[in-house]
Amino acid sequence: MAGSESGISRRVLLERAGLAGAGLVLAQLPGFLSGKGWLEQAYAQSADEVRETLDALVAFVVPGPDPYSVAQGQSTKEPGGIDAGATDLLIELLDRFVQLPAGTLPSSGGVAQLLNGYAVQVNPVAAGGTFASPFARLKFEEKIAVFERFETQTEGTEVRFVSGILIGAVGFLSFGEGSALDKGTRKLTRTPTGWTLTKYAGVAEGRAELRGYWKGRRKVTTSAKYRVHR
Amino acid sequence: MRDVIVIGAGGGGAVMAKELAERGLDVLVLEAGPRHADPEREWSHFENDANNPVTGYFRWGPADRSKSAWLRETPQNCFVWQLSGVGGTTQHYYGNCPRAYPGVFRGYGGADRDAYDRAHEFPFSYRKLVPYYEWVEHTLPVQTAPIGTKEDVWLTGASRLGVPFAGSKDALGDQYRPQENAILQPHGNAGKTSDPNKLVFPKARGCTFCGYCFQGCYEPRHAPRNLRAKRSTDNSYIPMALTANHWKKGGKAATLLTDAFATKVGTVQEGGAQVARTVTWRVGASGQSFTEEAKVVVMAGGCTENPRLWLNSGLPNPNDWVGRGYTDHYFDWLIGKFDKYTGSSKGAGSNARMDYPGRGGLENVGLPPGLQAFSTTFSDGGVNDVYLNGYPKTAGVYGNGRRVGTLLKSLLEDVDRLLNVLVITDDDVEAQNRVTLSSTLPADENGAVAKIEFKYRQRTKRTLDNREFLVGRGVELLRKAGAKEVYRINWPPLILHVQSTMRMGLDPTNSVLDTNCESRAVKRLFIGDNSALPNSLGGPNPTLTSQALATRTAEKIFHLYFGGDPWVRTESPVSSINDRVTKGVLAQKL
Repeated sequence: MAGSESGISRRVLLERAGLAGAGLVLAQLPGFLSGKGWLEQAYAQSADEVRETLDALVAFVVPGPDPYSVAQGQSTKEPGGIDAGATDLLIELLDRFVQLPAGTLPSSGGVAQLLNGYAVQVNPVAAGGTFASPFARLKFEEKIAVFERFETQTEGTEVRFVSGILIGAVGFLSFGEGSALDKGTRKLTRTPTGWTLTKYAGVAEGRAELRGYWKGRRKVTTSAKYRVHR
Repeated sequence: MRDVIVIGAGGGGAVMAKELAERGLDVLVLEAGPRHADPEREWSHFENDANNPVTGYFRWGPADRSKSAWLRETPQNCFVWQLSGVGGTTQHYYGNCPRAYPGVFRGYGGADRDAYDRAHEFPFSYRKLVPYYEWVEHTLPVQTAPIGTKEDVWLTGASRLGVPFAGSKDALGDQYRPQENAILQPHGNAGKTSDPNKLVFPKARGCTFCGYCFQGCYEPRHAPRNLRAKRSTDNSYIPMALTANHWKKGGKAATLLTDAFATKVGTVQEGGAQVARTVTWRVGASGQSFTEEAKVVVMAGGCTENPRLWLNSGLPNPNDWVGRGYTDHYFDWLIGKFDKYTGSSKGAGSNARMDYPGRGGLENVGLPPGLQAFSTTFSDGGVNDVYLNGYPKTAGVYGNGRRVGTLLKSLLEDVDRLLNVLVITDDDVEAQNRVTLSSTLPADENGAVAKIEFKYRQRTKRTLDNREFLVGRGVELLRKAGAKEVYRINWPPLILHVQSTMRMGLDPTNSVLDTNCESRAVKRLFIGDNSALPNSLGGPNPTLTSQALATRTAEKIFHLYFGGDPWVRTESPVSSINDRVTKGVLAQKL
């Protein structure tokens, strides 16, 4: 557990957050968390709480039959982002922006704290309940309210990049092949969930899609107006 | 001492290298990323494998995928889609090769001349660039795109908007057309089957309609590298540069060094002028640095890295315009949902477009599911119409901003019943949109990192009006094509079409380069990529124009510093698919 932020230099904060050395789009995250009074909570999160928070985020973007989708009041019979393995991919995406020194706050932890901090603002009752993560205790509409605050209150800061890209990242990871691909063999181990959800035909070296040429035209040249005679 | 050192083997640097190697100069090309010499093994058709910005093989980072990506400070909602590696961003581009609109050039006298960014026009006429366009179009080559289902549906909608079908390479007014693409037209089995056994070269030639332009083109399989369908510079100009001695009498093969990140351009004082003389680079694998001298240095690392290298090298910036004037076509994204098959995930990335000179343009984009989902959830416009982030509702659309939750799943329930419209805005050059060195992030192993700022909510009225006009046309197109629902995602800056951070111009107070693309402050230092463009071209995709301009710049270099004559008006170009090039490629096992 890190000490209190008083008396700790910005440099130390950055190092503790795993941000020094290689630099990071989340470089202002510790300062932002500190400004919100959430820095200590960020360090206090358990790995389970971070994971729960990000599971709840994935369920928000692409719900399925999982407990987080059910808890938010928007779930589906068919699989969702959690079934697609998007949470692991998201944690990897966030944390591999830099190689993290041991014992520091990963970026996934910082993002989780932001979501949980806004969650308690949106619904103070979310401070206690079934899940360890306050964000995971919210209803779907309340999660939208979290993102409204997250986006508007980070405007003009480095964290605005994160509040803007986070949902898009989950969308990409949920519908791509990520967790279904064996990185060693680079072959699929199963049909990716996102392919099933979108009725995607799957990869191929080519498609029988050629219809011809529009109005039969195969070639155009420079117009007479601009033609240059050599 | 080398004749020329080219920094960057992307869309522009590769052209400079080929043109000058063809003239017999001793050219060294430095590329920060890898060269994918065996794409059938190194690449795939999987989008997370390819396009994950941290772990994908197409990322802004070192060749070793276990190492972190390189970073930039981006203090706003945005995404910078920048690539390292031989081919640069042409590795994932769609090969779209529209010419710039004539209205953005000096001397344009059309009735709509005030519709363009007149304060930042090209410093010469459109007519003067046409021979260079033709040279590049023959070299790549550029061909009229074929159509599949998605183009048929898209162009049918476009044809109902009351504008004519384009009749030439030039945009003489509002028009619709199949793209002019740097993608070889399909022959043999290409486009007619999904059977992999029938899609092997030479049974299949040209575009196989696989749908993976954005993951890198290695189709048809087993084709010589220069005969792969998409003419990214790793398939076209770089093979030509490396084999110049094979296909051109007097040509001298260029030398290519990969994993070589340029960290400094050094200068000397000569005749009262500051002159570029050396380039220092760092080898990623070993960490060693090397320096070589050259008679001429060409920077072609892209719109973000050129200013970064300039500033890290301590080069002069007397008018403070290095890095300023960043244009990005302020994209937006529309999705139509249909109750019929559109084939949106199949075929080349973009084979159809509309031109609205003075406004920008529209183009169709087809995507596999992960990227389709990203395009649907990357937004500045709120969530599910519950909040719009301060933007007004758009007339005629079913939804504004991101789709999330069951609404997202419902929208994406059949990726081949969607149809996308990319809105490409003619955006003004603005000093506030810029690249500087980050003061927040620590430097990485290659020096201080870039900070990219876009004040996108404060763009000029013309830029914002153009975007809204095009959104209106795009919505209408989708409706007339038969969409049952239309969504406007309202993207934040997706910094993918990049232009004009080291801009050329007549006015020395707001440009970095003179009319030859040579730095005014440092002689023998040229810019050879999109960053030299003086503006955003009016909206057309920038690669072709950058390549035409790079060809012109190569002529200027050869004439000014090597006593040679220009060639574009007197010689015929050799195509990158010419048999002599193929023989060279096979001989050198490229």
